Amino acid sequence: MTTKVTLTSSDNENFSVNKEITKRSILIKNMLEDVGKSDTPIPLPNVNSKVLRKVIEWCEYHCMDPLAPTNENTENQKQNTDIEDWDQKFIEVDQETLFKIILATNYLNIKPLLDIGCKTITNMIKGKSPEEIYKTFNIVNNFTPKEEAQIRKENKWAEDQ
Amino acid sequence: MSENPEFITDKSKPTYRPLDQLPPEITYDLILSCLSLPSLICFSRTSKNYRHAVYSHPFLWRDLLFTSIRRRYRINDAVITSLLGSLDATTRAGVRNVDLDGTLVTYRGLRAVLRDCPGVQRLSIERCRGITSDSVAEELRVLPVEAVEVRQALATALIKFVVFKYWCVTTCGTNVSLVMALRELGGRYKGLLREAYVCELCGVGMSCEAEGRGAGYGGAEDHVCAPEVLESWRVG
Repeated sequence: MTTKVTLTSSDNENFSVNKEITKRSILIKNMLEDVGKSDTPIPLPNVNSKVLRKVIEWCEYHCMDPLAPTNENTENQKQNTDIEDWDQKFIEVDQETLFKIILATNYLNIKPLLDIGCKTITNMIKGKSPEEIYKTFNIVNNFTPKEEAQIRKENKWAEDQ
Repeated sequence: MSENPEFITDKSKPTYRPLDQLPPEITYDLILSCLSLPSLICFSRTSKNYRHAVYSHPFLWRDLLFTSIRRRYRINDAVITSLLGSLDATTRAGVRNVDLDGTLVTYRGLRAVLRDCPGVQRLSIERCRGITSDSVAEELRVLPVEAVEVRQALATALIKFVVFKYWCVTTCGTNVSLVMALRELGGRYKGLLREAYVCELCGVGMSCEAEGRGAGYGGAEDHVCAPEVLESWRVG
């Protein structure tokens, strides 16, 4: 028989999830180890129900994946921003949700999903012009036109056009 | 991240700024660190705040890989000097890997890298048309005695440079290229090892032994090869 754990989102919605699945989150895994055998719901005040539902969906799909080592940060990984097909489809959400998923996975300590979210943002920046980047992320360009022209001239070598 | 209100004129724009919501360790260590050099430079041009943050974050400049630039012929001494000048001393000290392969950098740009990036451990200069093996050997000779790691990186880069040079210029086939490369390396090899403080018997960087006893030749004098290395040389 599989044991269930109840997770409570910031907007007080309860989610009953298999214990093994919740262990994809290091935070929840540690909490469960600390409280021992208990039916008390685990409050997740930093994650709303919409985001928690998405995170659970990801954990359920990846429940059989081997747990990744915590400190893997090799050179290859650094430049590799490829995302698997299912994850790519999963992360096709509006920008606000994407950032909330990143914050939630950082809080819940789910490294593989955090990496997917970050790679998605990296891919949104890659190969874009500064104008496209600040439009995409609503960054306030506070350079004066003169400064902008000077920096553009200095960095001409980095442009592909 | 604070904004300069002086330049914010369009009040109708939404104030949701997603990147500002992320903790810096996510923005810089997980997102921006995956960008290639040109994309990182483009990102730094989006605002003053990001420019300052990007240029002063050592983790983002560990690898200066100019090979990621499609038009490498644009990379010359002026670009190298200007880029290094934009980084603060701590950030420059954090540079570990510099790839100038295929750029137009000459010994002047190389000298700027060696002078400004004391932590360089890996250097690539193959296909740099403005560099000669003599000029690299001279740079190695004039490097400060205590810059042991940089010396070793430069000596390795010079060996690769020599091999690649003959690989490119000879059309007579692999063997001839290799013979020519080995002939030049043979003339330089012992000098290279000496300049880079690498033991000619065991290949160990002799500065390792010098730790705590002063860097440089202090290590060379104290260096003793492992018994099995001495034995293999004796037998050989």
